[in-house]
Amino acid sequence: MGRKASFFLSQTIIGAVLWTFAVFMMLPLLWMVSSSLKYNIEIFAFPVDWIPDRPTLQAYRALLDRSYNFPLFYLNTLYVAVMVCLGIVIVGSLSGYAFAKIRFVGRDFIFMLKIAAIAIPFQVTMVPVFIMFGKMGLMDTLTSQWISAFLGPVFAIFLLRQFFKTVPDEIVESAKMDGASHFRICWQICVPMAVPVLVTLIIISFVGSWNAYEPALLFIRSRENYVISLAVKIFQREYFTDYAATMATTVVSNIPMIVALILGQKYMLRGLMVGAVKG
Amino acid sequence: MAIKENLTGYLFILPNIIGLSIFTFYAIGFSMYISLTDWSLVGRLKEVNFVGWQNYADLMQDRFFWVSLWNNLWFLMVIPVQTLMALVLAILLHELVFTSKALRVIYFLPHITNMVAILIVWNLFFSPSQGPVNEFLRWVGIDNPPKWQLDQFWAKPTIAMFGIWSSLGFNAMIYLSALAGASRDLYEAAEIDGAGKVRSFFRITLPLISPTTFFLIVLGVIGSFNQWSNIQVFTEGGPGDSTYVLGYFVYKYGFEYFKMGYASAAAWVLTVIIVLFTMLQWFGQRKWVHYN
Amino acid sequence: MIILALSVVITACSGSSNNDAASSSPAASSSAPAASSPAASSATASSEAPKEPVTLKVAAFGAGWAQYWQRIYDRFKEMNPDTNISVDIQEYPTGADYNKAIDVAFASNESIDVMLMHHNDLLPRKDAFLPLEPFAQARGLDLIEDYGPAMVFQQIDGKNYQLPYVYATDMMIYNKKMFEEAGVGIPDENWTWDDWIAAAGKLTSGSGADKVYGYSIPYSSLDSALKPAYGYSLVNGTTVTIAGDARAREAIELHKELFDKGISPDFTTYGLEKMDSRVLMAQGKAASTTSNYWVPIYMNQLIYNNGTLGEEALSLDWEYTFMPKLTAADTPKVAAVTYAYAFSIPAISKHPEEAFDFMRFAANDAADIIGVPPAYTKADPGIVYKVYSTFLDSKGNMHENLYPQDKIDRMLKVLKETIPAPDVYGVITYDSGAYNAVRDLFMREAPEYYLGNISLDDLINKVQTEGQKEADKFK
Repeated sequence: MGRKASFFLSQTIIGAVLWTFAVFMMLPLLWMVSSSLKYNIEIFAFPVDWIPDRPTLQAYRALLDRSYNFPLFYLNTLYVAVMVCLGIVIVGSLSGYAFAKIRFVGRDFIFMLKIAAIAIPFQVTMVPVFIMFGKMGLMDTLTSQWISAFLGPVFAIFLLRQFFKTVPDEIVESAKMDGASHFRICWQICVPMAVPVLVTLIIISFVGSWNAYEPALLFIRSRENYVISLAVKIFQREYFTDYAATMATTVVSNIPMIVALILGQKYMLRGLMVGAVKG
Repeated sequence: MAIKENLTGYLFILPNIIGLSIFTFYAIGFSMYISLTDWSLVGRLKEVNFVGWQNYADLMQDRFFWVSLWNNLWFLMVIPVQTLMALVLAILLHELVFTSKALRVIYFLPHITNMVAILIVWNLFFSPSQGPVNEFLRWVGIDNPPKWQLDQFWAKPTIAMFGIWSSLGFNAMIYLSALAGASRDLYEAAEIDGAGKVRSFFRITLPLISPTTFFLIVLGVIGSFNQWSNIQVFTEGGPGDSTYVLGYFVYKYGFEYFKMGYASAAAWVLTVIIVLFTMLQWFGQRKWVHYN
Repeated sequence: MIILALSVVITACSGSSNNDAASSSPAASSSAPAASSPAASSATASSEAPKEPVTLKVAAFGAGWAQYWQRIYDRFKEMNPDTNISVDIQEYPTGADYNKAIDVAFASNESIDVMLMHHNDLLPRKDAFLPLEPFAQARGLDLIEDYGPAMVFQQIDGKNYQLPYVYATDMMIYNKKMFEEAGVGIPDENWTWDDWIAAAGKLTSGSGADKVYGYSIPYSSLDSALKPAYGYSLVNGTTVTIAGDARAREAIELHKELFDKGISPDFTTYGLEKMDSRVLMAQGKAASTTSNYWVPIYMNQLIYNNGTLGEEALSLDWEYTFMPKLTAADTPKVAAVTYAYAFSIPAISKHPEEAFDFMRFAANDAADIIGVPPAYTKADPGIVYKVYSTFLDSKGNMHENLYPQDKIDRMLKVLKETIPAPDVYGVITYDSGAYNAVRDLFMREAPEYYLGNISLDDLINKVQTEGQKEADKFK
């Protein structure tokens, strides 16, 4: 068997396995799309109808129907997501680099503190953070939704630190010999190497801020500042949950994320190529 | 030189200092203070009574606390499984050339989907009477399929399966970014040395991505200890107390039973447990995590 | 901008209904500004001449209430053109999230002036709200006279914290045609649950898509199994009372019978599939259920706002009757009569006087906007007919002649004659934290009994002993 034949054989097997598994993973999501095309009362009918008997767009129409300004909510959400990604890239890279490559007193201790911060359940920090945000004048502003990404995004810092740690010290040392500052080493040497990681982080943070609900619930009050996740919840009424509309909104609010994901994948693979060329 | 290095370091992490003071020191101090009081959440903060260590003493006597801790420990077993699955998936996706991009998007979809909506779907899928899962199991000849979320034994695995389903693509993507960042020449060197695929996987790939594995496990442990909203939507801690976990305990006692002081004490104990576990892993990492 | 645009739309839609409500309702004139009531001049600062403009922060319970509040304010402004009150409506999501957002806002002293709160949710938070008696006295009002005797047993430590806009009285709803065709007789206040189950058993038929349930259990949370035992509460003070309480035992068994005989959707279906018993009835898939005043309005929403049901659902021959008795010896016509959601003033309010005036207006003169039979005893009866015979849909179209008057009358009769359970069994007061904890324990343990894994005695013993340990934490 030639090299080529064995390559195609292994590709076929891997492809077959992954696609089969993917279909199973997708079933709940497919069902979700299918029920967003049903009437509310048909959703819970058994045996499960994969293809709606009498498909309807009423759930989607309902989203447009009510006197909501969905485009504005989308814009707000997009703004928050972009700001969060900016914070992740700037603060995340600098801090991740510092925790990995700069030797300063108390470095590991401060890093441990940061990890401890994720360990505290949100229910407990909710009230103090709320009080603090109130004092900082962040109540009912979109800033309240993204500011934490600029105040030390723990997840990004951790992942980037892990990555920067794998960058050989010799590279940093030799750049230093050449007179480069840490800032330059960070931005011109280390960050370009971390493009795949950064793209992953951007995708994850984008998705995370798109879905973020609790901060919106706690800090946002007026319509002008609504984000998608909050607007979706407002649809639920006193004695009544519109399941079809819930599914439809989920489908609709997923679309921008899927686009972000596809674009992100492109950059991730391109980053991989850059890495390969450089390597 | 050392001073400059120190200064640069602190300059780089400056925003973190502000973040730490709000989200960590103030928050930790606040919840520590609350845990020593009988604050009910709804009363005004000025009117609380100081009760000393009473909440902690009561907690040690509380059967629910210990049951929750035990359940939390059970859920920890899921982490190696989900990490391993993510690793295998990432490697296969990394190897696959055709349609890999589409697959990556598909596997990531569960993570981006609104959890409340998806839990409704899961509840229906695992409905013991007529849910598609059990219909399928009956079709293949299993007459008495499990009652899933309504069964004391199966409730935990059902929630664990949901956790794996929703996090698999996410974890795999983080592995993929690590694999993408790995330099090719190492593999080429190995190939020249005549190392086979299996050998180079264990000799090169595994050590190379060990910082990522460490990262995923640390965060997995923290997330597993803190989980509660999936429990709330799925089983509300039941049946019996089979899925009662500490995160849910904190939520219930703080926000629904109005014992915020008691809940804060539980949260504090939970935080200490998590930090202990994290430190254990931190010091353990020297044995198996390879930087450089 | 958006709010402005929205309010224009809403005002435009509601303009016509505002006018005729104002002219047809005699109650409207009495309610107007508090200044016109006799005692007002002696007390409130708000009634004195040059008034400072006041903006009330009104917390809206979901999108529906944001619209109601806007329309209520528009009418308020129309009837009190010189008012110094304006409103700032702030939307919150419904359910547990509402309470969470409110709790955090309270803890950090963010101002809210008027809000909707469920009585059970207010109970543990009473310190965060203002008792209403001082406001009522200052205006020469008698809350019990104005809002009915239920105000007495909904008191917390002898004080009222809420103004109700409606009473959510439990009642039975059944499909008259199905009952007649099956020859099981017409239910009345003397039926016991056993009678009802026997009749429902005969009305149960078919399977799969053709399944018809004789009686559909209306709530999806298991603690409602205890509901038929009116006068029983899991917890009295901080003492668990389930062991040895015959009524509780009977009520739990009753549910098992409904599940096991297939009269109701079975236990697993019930909890997980969240079927809506009212919709099942509208589709002819259920012959009876328990509900309240809300059903006809809910049906209008399903027909005109959501398109879930066709208009044929309107012509269903629905009848209302009293809740069945648990045992033959029970007093007939007894049920839960609570105001569930009602208006209240948070203690952090900066303008409680204005808040009281505005929410009194909402309770007394806006029943047609909210779409409820008003709790206000002096309301114009005509308003109730208007509530049920007309419906303003979400697109702004008005639908008329929806329910015939005699049908509305029969429902009102049940509403009026139902005896509140505390009148017969006495008022039970409990610690709400302890109650919630024991209720949750019951809900986690009950599935084992309903699935047949443990006996009823096991369940009751477990809830009693384990529940008492839970309740002890709240002493």
